Amino acid sequence: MGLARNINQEPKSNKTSVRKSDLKVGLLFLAPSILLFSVFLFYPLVRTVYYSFHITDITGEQSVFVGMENYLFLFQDPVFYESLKATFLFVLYTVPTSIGVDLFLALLSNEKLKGIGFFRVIFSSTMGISAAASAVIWLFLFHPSVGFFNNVLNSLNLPVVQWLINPDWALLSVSITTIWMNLGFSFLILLGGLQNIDQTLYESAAIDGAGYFSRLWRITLPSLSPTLFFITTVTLINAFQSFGQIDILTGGGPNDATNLLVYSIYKEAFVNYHFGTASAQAIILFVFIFILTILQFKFAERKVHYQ
Amino acid sequence: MITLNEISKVYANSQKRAVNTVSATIEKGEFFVLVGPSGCGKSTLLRMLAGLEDITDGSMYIKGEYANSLPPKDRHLAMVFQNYALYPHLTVGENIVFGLKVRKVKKDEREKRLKEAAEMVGLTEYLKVKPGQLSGGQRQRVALARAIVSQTPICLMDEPLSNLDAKLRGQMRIEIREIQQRLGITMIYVTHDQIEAMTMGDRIMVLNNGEVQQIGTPLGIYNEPENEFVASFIGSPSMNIGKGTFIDKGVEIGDFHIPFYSNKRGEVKVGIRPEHIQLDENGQEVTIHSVEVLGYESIINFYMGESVWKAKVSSQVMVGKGDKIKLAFPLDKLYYFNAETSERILIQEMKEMVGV
Repeated sequence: MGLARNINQEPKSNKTSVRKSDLKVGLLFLAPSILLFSVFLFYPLVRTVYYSFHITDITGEQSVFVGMENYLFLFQDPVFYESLKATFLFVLYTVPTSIGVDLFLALLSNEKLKGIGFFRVIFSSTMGISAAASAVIWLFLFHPSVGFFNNVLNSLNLPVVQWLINPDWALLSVSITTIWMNLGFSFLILLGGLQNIDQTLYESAAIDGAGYFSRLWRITLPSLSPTLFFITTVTLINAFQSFGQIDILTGGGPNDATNLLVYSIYKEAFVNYHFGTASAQAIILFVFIFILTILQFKFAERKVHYQ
Repeated sequence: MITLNEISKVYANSQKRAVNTVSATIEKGEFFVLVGPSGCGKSTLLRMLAGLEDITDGSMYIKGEYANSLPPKDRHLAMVFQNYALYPHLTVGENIVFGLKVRKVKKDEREKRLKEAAEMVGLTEYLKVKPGQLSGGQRQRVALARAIVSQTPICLMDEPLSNLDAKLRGQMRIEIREIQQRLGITMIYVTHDQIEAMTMGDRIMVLNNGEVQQIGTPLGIYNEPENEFVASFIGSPSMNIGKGTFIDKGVEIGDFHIPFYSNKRGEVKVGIRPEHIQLDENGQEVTIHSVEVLGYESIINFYMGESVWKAKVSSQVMVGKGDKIKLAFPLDKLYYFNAETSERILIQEMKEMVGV
């Protein structure tokens, strides 16, 4: 009773003090994340913005403030445009294909068949392989003379392909590798999403007379939409940030055909020691991903049905 | 309408028969209740009727047509699931007409049926809402409306009221029964709640361990249970059953003696429903274990030998633990069961009302 009367007498001051102490407690809970994010994300981000307005010397120390010059330089640089183009093509090749293939495999292995557990393990196994290891595996598969693919082409009496050496093929080859690398994670998440769908929905639809594709279209995909949305966002961001497989497979070549943005940033910063332009590229990449993610949330999320 | 001929179900990786040689005939327009404790096979039987489970043995006929391998959609029935199976991404209206859309019913017809069904279950104002925003009772109504719009002659319901609170359950019992009668649907209704079975069913099938215990009208089953399981399952509180021995002039249970002339010997089980035991000055004295006063009636728990029996009397009994009270056990309300097989033994000898 005493407490209730207090609140009645001075509702305003009480409310604000409650809100203040709520904020304190909330910040306390957030403190570990804020600390980690500050050290590893916020500070580097601010530093990158700062660097992008400077020219650096060979040791990486900023020497001259140049304002927007780094950005202006980039937007006049044909190599940067090539890099942008390659990045967008790469995203276009890998993201829809990854999701399509993974969804197909997840649907297959969601069927109740004998020995399906074996396939589930196989399909999700790429998750346990590092980018470097997968890239090396594919490096052998793509090998011009002893690689598996060219052996197959040879035995079929088809002309061999210079997978990683031909500029027309290199981006595609790297994309195939990336799709394979994405497989495990997306497959596992999608399968989990599928298994979360209430079986009685399918039973009810079966009684109503809905066939497989009708069920897929009307029940599975809408129920899976939050998972699909998540996977799309993550795959998209991952695609923009691909690095390891490019470094090992092509090193950005041939002729800059696979010089994706992140790889280009790496080269600018740690090979050419142009930290200023590298930072400017990083900021541009950040803005692209930011805009795309906002667009995705704005348009794609309308079709997402949360429970 | 539906004939089951020695239907059995054995699940893969299991030796046990989940449903064991069940035979029954369900008439057109009948409200047929499958009742039994959990795990008795009633839901499995219903799912076999729906075509969601294969039939291991036996044959099933729907409208005279052999239906063992008929796909669910060709059985022309509707089913209401325990969790309602509503599509969370569709509105209430879309949920209700989902089946009609799949079956390619014309839009005008869909709208017409939707309107009728929504009015019938009182959902007209909620058609544009998603199921997530509805209460349990309203979701139940959506599931019901979905069955109604399908206009199928047979409707299956799997424990549809088990997720509702007691008050709503009572209300929905009446509504479902009314809709079933109005539309003349053949209803097959699964429940573990014997009150639902008693109040809604035209006929009841009592199942236990996958086997039919008894099929009959609610009162028929209540009055003439064929075995100990049915006797104790139907009725609330359940029937008191004790082990007794035939003696020269009757049956003895612990200190109690039931007089009648019989030449039978050996063990027997004796049962009486709590509501048939009466307060009586000339009755048998018993010791109170506890009393539950429910207002207009009281349930007296008293010692009968080692075990505790219940008596339901229509008055407010104000006695406490350890007190003595006199109760009468009408002889014509006693049930006898074979001590080994638990089958009912009919004994006609008792006529007069005597204290045990």
